[in-house]
Amino acid sequence: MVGIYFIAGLIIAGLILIYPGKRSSLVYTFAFIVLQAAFSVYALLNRDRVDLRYFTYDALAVVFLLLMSLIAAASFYHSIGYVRDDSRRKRAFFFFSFIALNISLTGVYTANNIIVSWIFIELTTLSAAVLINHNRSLTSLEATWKYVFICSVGIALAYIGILFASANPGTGQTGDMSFESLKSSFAGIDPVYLKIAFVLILTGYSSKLEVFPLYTIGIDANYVAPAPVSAFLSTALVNGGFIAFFRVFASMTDSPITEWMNHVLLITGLLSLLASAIYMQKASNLKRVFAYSTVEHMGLVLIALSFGQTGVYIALIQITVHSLIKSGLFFHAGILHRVLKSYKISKTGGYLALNPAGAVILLSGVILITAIPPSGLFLSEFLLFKEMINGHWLLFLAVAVLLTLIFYGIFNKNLRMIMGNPLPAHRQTDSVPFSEYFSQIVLFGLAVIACFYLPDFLTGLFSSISGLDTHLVQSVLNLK
Amino acid sequence: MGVLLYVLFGISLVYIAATEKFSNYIQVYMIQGFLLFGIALTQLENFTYINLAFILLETILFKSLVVPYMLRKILERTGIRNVHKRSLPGNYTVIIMIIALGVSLLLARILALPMVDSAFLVIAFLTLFTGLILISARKLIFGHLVGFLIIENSVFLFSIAIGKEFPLLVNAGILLDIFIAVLIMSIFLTRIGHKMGGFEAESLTKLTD
Repeated sequence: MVGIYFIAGLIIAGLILIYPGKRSSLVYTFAFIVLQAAFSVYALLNRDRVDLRYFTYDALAVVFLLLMSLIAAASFYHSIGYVRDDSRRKRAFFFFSFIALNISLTGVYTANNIIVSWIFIELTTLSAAVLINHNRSLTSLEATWKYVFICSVGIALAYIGILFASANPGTGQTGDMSFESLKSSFAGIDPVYLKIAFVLILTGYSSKLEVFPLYTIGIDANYVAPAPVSAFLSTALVNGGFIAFFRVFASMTDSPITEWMNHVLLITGLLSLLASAIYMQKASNLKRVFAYSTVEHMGLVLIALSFGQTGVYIALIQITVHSLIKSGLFFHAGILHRVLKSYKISKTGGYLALNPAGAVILLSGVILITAIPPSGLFLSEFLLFKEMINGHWLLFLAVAVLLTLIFYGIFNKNLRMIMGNPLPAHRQTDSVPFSEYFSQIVLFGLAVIACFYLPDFLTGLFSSISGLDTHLVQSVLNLK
Repeated sequence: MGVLLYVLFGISLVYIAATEKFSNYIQVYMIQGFLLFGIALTQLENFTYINLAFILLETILFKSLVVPYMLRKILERTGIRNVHKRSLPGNYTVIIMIIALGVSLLLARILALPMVDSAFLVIAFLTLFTGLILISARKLIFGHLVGFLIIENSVFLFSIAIGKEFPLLVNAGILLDIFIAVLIMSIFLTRIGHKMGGFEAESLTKLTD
């Protein structure tokens, strides 16, 4: 099935380039969105099935495929308005790259082989580059160059890490590079090799994961990209980075370097939070504020991963709910830009007066992303704090202080745009149709539901990924 | 024969770090393609025609012919010749290279494994450091592109040093990866030159908070 998906996806993408008309490119992209959703459902119904030797529909792939299908559909809907006035060629390239990015991410999500996963990660760089440079401005050119260059260097470093991880001291050769096979071989590898591999892979993939040290390119990319693309990059692409990294991490959990690895994750997570807390205060642009918030959440995900199986479970809730809220916020940023004509905080204000419904939705999103109840993030962050209080007081304090700073930064920047008087230049604005808010209402609604109720099929998938017994899950969540 | 090739490769790295002419960068990169072919041949344990074809494709055809051709085209279109006047002078980069060699020797000693050729590891690490040095010491983004290509050479060396043998899929993936990356980068590099009126890395500082 994955073969049919890849071929059909590429044919649809090719058709867009051959027939770049407005209606045809929309019809073909819609057809791809249906294909993507159908493939995700197929993966759900065929759990743990291996396809074409290198792809498996395991629980991790299924969760993120379903999530990506939802976000891709919303991104497509918001993109229609965004590219309305573009030339045929520019619009065709936009949808072609969007489909290519979806296909590459599907490869990353489902790959059961470290090299195949790496190849698809590299392909995401190339398809994302075209989308980031869609506006063809000086800043988008700069962001794209930095994105391609730093991702390529990072991914080359990750590849060296993969080589170290796959070095078999018995034969000096690499054979089966599947994650399952690597897991058993890690027990026999020199720990120094494994440590080097882990650091290089984490550093390389940090460009996709949007964590310290290579998070900066993600910030710039989210800033210059069209809002529907930013929504997709900061969720589906970041999740791709997470999966590629998590599969390596999971393979190394029973190796001699487990404890050391957890320390590295803690430090990296804390440094990501620190960077987010500092730069959030300096950020002068709404999209950069949201992008730094992604760094914060992915930092928390890394910290959670260092707490063993329970931590993995918490990380999965965090990353899933984050994807729902963050994509909604970026979709709304696009609407806000149409009303206020800028993302610059100092050049805007009075959003509540100009667009009350939009302001309420934006404020709701900001409340949810800062993990205030009834946000689903409250559940994951509460559980994480519970883990930290049990014997990690200093870490708890450090995280609490940094999250407070981030909380202040997000609210301060957003309230400045929402409150106040509208600038004279903004008083004449077009009204926003209610259908534009639909995606945000659905996404935020799902994030709220996650605070009170996680469906059994989802908890089942999460426990399958984390290895936590379902009874233990209920005791962790304390839901029943 | 193998040792001679390592030494020649090491010399090419020092030269590329010291030289200030971009045309020399391309020539050295081209020579490195031939040297990598020789090194890969001396290390090839299970000779098959498919393996040989891939090595030929990756080194001679790709690294020695296609990429240098693309780099030359970039120089022709952009008109840049030498490294930026304010770049770190060549004699300083040579000193940094000596330090990098010391670190590479140390790392190879720490990571010594019976089945891994230490001399190879030294060269692979030195190549990686050279790429990173070029990226940090050169002000023009063309120098950064060459730095990236040198890092890709280190990936090739590491794969021989540690892996010795990789499935076809891996080789195909690496080849595709480098080719598309260089293609995309050359397009953007030329556009940066046209739109920003220069190729200094410092001109890429509009994106700040």
